[in-house]
Amino acid sequence: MIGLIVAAAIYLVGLTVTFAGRRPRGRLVGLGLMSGGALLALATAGPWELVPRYNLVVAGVTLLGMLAVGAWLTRRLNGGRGQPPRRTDGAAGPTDTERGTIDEGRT
Amino acid sequence: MSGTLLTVVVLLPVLGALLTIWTGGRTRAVLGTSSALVTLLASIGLTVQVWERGGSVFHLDLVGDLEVVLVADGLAAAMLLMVTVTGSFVAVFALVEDRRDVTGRARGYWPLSLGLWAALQVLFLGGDLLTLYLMFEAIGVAAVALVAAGGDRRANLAATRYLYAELVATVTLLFGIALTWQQAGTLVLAELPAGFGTEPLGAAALALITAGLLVKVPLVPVHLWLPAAHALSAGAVSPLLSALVVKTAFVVLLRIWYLGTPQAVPVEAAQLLGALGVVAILWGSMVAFRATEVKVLIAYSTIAQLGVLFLAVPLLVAGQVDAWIGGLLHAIAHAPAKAAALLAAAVLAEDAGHGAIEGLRGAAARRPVAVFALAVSAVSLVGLPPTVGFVAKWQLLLAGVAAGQWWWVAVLAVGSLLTAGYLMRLVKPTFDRDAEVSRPSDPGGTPRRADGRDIVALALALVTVLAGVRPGELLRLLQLVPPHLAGG
Repeated sequence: MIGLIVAAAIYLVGLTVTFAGRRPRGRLVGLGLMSGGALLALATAGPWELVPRYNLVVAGVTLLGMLAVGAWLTRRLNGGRGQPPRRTDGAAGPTDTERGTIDEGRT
Repeated sequence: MSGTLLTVVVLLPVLGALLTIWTGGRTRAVLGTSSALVTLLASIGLTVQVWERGGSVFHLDLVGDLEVVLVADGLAAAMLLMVTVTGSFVAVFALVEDRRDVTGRARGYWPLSLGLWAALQVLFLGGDLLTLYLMFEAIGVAAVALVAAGGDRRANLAATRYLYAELVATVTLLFGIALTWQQAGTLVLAELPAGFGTEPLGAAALALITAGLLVKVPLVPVHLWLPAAHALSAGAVSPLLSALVVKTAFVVLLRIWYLGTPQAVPVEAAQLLGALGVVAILWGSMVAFRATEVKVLIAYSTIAQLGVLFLAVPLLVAGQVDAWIGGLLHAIAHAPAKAAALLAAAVLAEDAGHGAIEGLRGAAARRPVAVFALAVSAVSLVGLPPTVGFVAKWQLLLAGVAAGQWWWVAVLAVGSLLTAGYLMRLVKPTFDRDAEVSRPSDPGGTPRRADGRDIVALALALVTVLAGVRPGELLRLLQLVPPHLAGG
């Protein structure tokens, strides 16, 4: 039960970071924490001999894959490694990625 | 039932996806379309088997605790038909596009779209939570990559936001799965113990799974990722997302709630989901009325139509079988109608040179077949006879009246009127004969020969009429559920 409580706490911290984060990297960290919390919940779902270990491994690998796709998309959006984020209008201020919003009804 | 057809249905799109990775040019399109059409035939065969012999459950023990459970029941067969029929038309549309200009197609389109097909099919057959979770992940990755394949920066931004939403939903789902294992010791839906969901841990598991699925649907107010992702994706991608991918979470929700743990669904929760459906209908319609671009309007129409699906949930909990049939039939009916509308919109946008609603003025004179396709699909989305959209809404109306919950009936009627209103914004300007919209390629606005894509869009739209005229087979299919899952 302690493992489950710790897992829930990590998940909630991750959820908060994901929604409060203003930069893509911060959001990815939040999503990573959420993933860690969920995997810990699965790993502590009972005594170790009853834990669905293969399920855990498969879920962990696929989650890592999704996070990797997220990191790749974020990097692609920001113009690649080592380059500053671009703005579509060329002006100063937060990038489209950082602002991260598209108005309702318009794209 | 033999598992051969099931294996063919599952593996063919995977094989097609692999083959299209290693081929190029038009060969890739021909291979992709061929695998799509053969999968369609196999799924029709599977449906006939389900009709004749009823549902079957297949257990595949892999390694250790890994187990895949596939349920080939009426619900799965109906959903496979939805995927394969709609997907085949989209594939033929893409083939015709590629025959005209193959350079415009993103390299990853065929492998990704066929991979998406395969994942969709396994998900609709899935009878255990881990398989469902893995297929949601596969669908999410393929769908996000298809949106990003649009190439420009706005598409990348939309894809990134889509991925964030998918990850939040998937991880939440996984947490719910972990709690389910802790409480029940199994992830197979049919083996969940009676009373699961009434205990605190089981209730928390169901709540987390439901929350994850609602983000995936998406239901208002967690819908913000959808419009940009759907509106900014390519012409042959958005039908797959708007018509097929959005149905996955709703169907899984019904499978878990109604077939897995029917006694665990509180009336209040069902009413709340119904109320969120109402908000989705009103909000989606309101923004659709304000939209200036065709695909943005259609994307918000999707949000409103997803709201209609959730009107079935409180009626289901009230014990109305018509709500089960009506809700699922609405999900199925929406697919060809929405895909046809988007395919027609793609043709008309290319004709106008841009995607604004303004560009549709006078289109009926230039592209009559595409406009007719748009109009027929609009009729089905509104829910008018003789389309299958009407049959679905009729079933929901019957359920609402029988349950004595008249407020859902009123919402359904208002929702249909709103749908007619905002879709009229697309159809009406096409008949504007006085339009003087200059086009370098066609300054005179003379009628053009339908180029094949128009005909594909119209044929798909006419599927809604065909299914509306002969709805008996579909209705019968949705009533076929394995007894052990139905609790019988």
